[in-house]
Amino acid sequence: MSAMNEFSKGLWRENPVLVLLLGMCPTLAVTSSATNGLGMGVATMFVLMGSNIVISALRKIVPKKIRIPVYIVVIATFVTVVDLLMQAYAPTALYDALGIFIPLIVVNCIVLGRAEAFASKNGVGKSILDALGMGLGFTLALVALGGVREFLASGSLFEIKLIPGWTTDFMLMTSAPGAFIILGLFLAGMNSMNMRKAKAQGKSYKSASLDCSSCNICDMGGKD
Amino acid sequence: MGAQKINIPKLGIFLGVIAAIAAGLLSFVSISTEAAIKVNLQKKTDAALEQVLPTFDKVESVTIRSELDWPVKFYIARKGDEIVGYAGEVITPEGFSGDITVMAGLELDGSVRSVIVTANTETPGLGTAVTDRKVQKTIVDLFKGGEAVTGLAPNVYLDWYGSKKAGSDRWPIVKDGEQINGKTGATITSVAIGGAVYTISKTAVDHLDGLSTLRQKDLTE
Repeated sequence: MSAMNEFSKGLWRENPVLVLLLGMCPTLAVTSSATNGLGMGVATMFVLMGSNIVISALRKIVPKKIRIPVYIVVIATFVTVVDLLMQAYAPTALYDALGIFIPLIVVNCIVLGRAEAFASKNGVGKSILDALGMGLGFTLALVALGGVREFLASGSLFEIKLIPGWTTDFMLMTSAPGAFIILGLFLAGMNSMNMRKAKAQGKSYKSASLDCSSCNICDMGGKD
Repeated sequence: MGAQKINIPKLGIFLGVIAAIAAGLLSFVSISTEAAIKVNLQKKTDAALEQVLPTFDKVESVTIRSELDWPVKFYIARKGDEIVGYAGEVITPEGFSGDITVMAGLELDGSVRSVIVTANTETPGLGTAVTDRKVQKTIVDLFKGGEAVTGLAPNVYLDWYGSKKAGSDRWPIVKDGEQINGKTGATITSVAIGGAVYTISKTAVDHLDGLSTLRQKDLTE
């Protein structure tokens, strides 16, 4: 695969939220506004890049059987270090905006998922591109979801009221059920677009092969 | 299974080494950032004090333990020699995800002037709707340029506590007319903040003498 491909697959074809359905917890919890989606997305992209670099650099010396605990230790350490460094040296405004998302990233399975599925098998350069693409795809999906929810909930976007008279919040949209509904509509829309595209080319649409048969999490065979 | 040889000591040692490196790195970063973080927190506290207190020229702090044995840090603000207000700060462990640091400015009788949350790790969009003070902007402001807003940005949930004074019980989550102190979807956060503000006000009311003794003591110095 070309370098461009590694980057662009995260944006649409293997978008972490809309195709891989990874990181559902932050996706559903923080997309109550476009600003929150952006904050979470940027913070995740940053951590993802760091963890992908470290894990692809370590990939040859980590025994296969204990790779998952090792990845978790590496990711948790990296996140905590970033949190402390930001708290100490980043401009206050930046930390105020992103700091709240950083502890949530430790439990974000996009980071672990990319470590396992990509960084552990590819070189550092490719892993950086993968992290950038996946991070950007995650950010775009979160901003889109957050934007739709925020607009439907209170008529505002990026915390700026677009419809001045709108004072009562549409509570369904600000809470988790609204997140599920909008996410469901997004997924349906995305699938229908992909199907239409496939039909135009005279093929039937098949989703990316991401089921159990192509997953290697359970592949704990005797190579250590 | 039996055919595969699992070298447990080797794996254990490898994991131990990784964990040790991680622990070493963490303690190094933690120690080397400690001072800078403290300075930043102090800056935040100073900014918060200016927001919840009337204009003052010096401030001293004293820590009093509440009924629940929470340490409440009181700031006594003076203009000249006269006390112009108190501010109480408490870290409540009742938040949805971790501690919430609440600061309340108090009148001289212990009733609440205004409340701000200086540190929290609540869920963005849900819990933070209760804790954050943000200026509401509309698209109209954007085109007009909008005048700079001074003072505290509004937050219906935090503003509820304005001019309330702690009695014998915690305030329940209520909605009276336009006023409300709890948010749907963030009940735990709302209750935690209510408890923290109550603790600050109650401790101040119980120790008004103590707070003013400090004044007398300082005046004689």
